[in-house]
Amino acid sequence: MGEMASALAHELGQPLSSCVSYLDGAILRLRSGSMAPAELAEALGLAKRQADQAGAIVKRVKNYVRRHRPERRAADLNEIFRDVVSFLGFEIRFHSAFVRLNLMPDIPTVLVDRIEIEQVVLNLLRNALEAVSGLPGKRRLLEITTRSRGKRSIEGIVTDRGCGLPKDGPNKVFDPYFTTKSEGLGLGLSICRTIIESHGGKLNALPNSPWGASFSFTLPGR
Amino acid sequence: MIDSSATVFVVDDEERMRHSLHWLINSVNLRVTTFPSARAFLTTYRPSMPGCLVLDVRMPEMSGLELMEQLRERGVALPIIFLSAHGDVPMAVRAIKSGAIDFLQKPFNSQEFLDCINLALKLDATSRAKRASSDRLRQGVAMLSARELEILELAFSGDSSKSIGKKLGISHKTVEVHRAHIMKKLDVRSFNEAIGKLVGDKLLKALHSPH
Repeated sequence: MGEMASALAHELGQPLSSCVSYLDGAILRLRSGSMAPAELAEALGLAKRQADQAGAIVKRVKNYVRRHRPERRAADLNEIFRDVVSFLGFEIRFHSAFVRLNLMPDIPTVLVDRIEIEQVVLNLLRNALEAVSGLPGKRRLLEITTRSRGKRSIEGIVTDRGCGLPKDGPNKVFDPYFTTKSEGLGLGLSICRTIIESHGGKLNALPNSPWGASFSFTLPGR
Repeated sequence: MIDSSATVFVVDDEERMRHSLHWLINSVNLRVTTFPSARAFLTTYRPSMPGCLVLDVRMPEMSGLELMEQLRERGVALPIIFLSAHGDVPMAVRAIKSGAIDFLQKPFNSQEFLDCINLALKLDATSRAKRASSDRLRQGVAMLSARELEILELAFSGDSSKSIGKKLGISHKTVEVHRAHIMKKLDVRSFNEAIGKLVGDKLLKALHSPH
């Protein structure tokens, strides 16, 4: 995700920079009274073209994330969680965290693009690990829960006892470019939500008592 | 004062960056020339051209930082402003340490960018004026005769015209005539000014070497 964010920043930085230069140049010329209408029209046209290009890049990224025809297959959500936890083994030990798995036995399968859902789970767990990093022992516990919800919906929940959600609105964490980290663009959770919604599910953040946050996503069962 | 022929040289491999920077810089009535590569700039640029350089950090073939290092090796003191699309901290540190004016990240603030350019142009004008006056002084010193150099040295050690005349076995009137010539050749109005300039320019050492 980090590399993608950096590539995106570069891709968008160029057209936006050009766009701003045309507009500021036009403002300066208008103020000094040295610009003919035709010249202004030309500058605005050039600025618009750059803004359109930035827009096209955003669209391309959205399509990449959504992937118009994702590969949907029956998958076991418990297995996805187990795989990601084992993949993160080193990072979990590095942060001296503990993971408790409350997985529903004989869980119905979900119809998903496995790689995309793994990305979501990976993101939620990494965020949770970072949220508890450096805290006292009893707070470095992550809980993973799976359960069925209603008739045809499966729910996955990642709960941490970390620093919690913004007081002025827990859903702020899904805003693009919301971030509490010194590195990173803040696109992670916003992309996660897009992935879950493209599967017909929902991703929500709730405060956890007494500490931390709970991220829950639903996926339609088969 | 900034020379009216001072030019903002822009080197960026992206066409749209060159065009939009050209437009922006032109909006404040400054001269701009753009180049698509470091190589293209090097083949055109002569150190006698006043101005400043706006450089993209990352370019194929020769990067902005490499171009700066080459210019410095060739003794070109043109002030440099870097533009980068990446938040590349180590690169920024390296650039600033090597004497770059600033390291701006795209998309940058236009006013900040234009302020940087104005500062760079002023610095270039000042350093060029300094170099020109020191060149004139050097030329003046080179025109001095052996006798004039002798008199200058004695005067520098604090001797009066009279004692200089005694030491050299000439009349103090003749010494006065030599002093007038020296002042004319060095283009100064007083003898003290001449000595001040020579000290300031560290040219006194040159006086002691054989002419």
